[in-house]
Amino acid sequence: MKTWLREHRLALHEALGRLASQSVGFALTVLVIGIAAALPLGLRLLTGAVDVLDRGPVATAQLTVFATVDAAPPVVQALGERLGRHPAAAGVRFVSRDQALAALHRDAGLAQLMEDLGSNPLPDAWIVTARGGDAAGLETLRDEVSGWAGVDQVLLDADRARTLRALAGGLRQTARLLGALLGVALVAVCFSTVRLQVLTQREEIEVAKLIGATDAFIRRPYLYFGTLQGLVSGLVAFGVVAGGSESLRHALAPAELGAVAVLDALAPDLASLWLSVGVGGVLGWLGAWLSVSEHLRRTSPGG
Amino acid sequence: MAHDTALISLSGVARHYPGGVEALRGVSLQVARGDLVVVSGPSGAGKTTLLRLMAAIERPTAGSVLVNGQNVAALRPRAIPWLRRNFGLVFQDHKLLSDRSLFHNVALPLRIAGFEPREAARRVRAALDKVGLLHRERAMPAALSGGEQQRACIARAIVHRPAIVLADEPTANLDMAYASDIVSLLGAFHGVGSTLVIATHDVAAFTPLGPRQVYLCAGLVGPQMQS
Repeated sequence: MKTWLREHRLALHEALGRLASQSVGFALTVLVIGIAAALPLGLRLLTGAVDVLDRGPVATAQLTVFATVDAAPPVVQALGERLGRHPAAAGVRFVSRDQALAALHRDAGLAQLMEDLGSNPLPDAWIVTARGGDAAGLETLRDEVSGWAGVDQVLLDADRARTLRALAGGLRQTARLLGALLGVALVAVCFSTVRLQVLTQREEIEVAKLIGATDAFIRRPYLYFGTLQGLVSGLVAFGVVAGGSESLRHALAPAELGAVAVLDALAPDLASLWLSVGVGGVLGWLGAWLSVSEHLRRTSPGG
Repeated sequence: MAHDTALISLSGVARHYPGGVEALRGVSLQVARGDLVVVSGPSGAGKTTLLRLMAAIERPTAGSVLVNGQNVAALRPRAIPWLRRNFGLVFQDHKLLSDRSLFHNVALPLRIAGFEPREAARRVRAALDKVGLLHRERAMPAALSGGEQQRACIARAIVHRPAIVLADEPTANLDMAYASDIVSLLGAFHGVGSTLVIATHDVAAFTPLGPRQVYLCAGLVGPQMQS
């Protein structure tokens, strides 16, 4: 065990030495891989944010039921109770005409216009969420509620939900495809950089084999090098995405998308860090392993 | 010499290369523990091929090569490095790593064998001392003379105290004084019980060591002479 640990320590030391001796080339390589790998990682976060939108109040399949402007309070109350009892409705949120007016004052900057109007032109309203997000059920409910006395208008908000779901699905697919393609590219880049090293060190490999080095002994420093390259590339990708998402969050914050969760989803979390660094490390290792193994296979007439 | 007591045993060994070149044609040879065997013959006689077969660097086209009772041709590739650790190899072209110091070159077999660094350093310095190169341990191979490079190669071959030393033309391209040094070094190593097989076209240089002589010509063994 002690010998095994010492051999790994020496191999890591050797890999770090090679890394230091070609630090500029190493930095440029990990920068290229890191920036490329940032794309699928960024898309993954974007997909997460769209998912949050999809699940959130902005996009949930829902109805907005408007009472007539002149509906008396008992009528409004009865309508609310009737909606609440309806089996297709999972939740009903009442937005009084006064609350709507206050929101308009506050959010849309229409205070002067509202004051000029003199009286509140807005109706009482209910936001009805479908049970189990069932958009079809909501369409039936819309047709039914439209005919109720005291109801002026019913708006169905399922189309946006469908669009967001389709968008999230598309983004997810794109992220997977890009991730797979860039994963292959990372393996190929590591293969090439390690191959260059192997070629410059082929004299040493040949001598080491002649005097009893196992393939594992020869492979080890290159595997550490490839793994380090992948790990650092993963870190670069994470850094690029973290920086990009921070500026995006700043840009989107004034738009008030309706949920802090959406902005939070845009921030790369610890899982993203582990994912990018872990996958980078594994793919770097794989590229190095393929590269050295291919060389050893070609240069082992006697084993 | 009895077949079953041989440390190295070749039986009917042939080695053919693509293009119809027959480097060895049915060679049989036994090397006992503690032997000093000098394989001589003209250029192209198959001396280097014979050593390469013993060290499992190549596999025979026909016949068997047994080292310590193990059939080299039947070994799995994974087992070959472990077999090679029984050997100390002295190459005609030295095969020193040009980007490593003399110390690190000589330390390579110990690193491969997983020696503890302090013990490895002690052994490297002892080996360098034996070949008279301790004062040059930090030198790069390019800074060494031909004779020094050959001595460095011998230091690397003996540093892990192998059971068998295979030396390919260890005195080639050296002047007489340097060649004499190398012969003395190998003689001293044999004197402490090591088995040596030396391929050379210069038998006279090794005659003072009283070796068993094997003459190879066109891939065939000539009459063996025991001094």
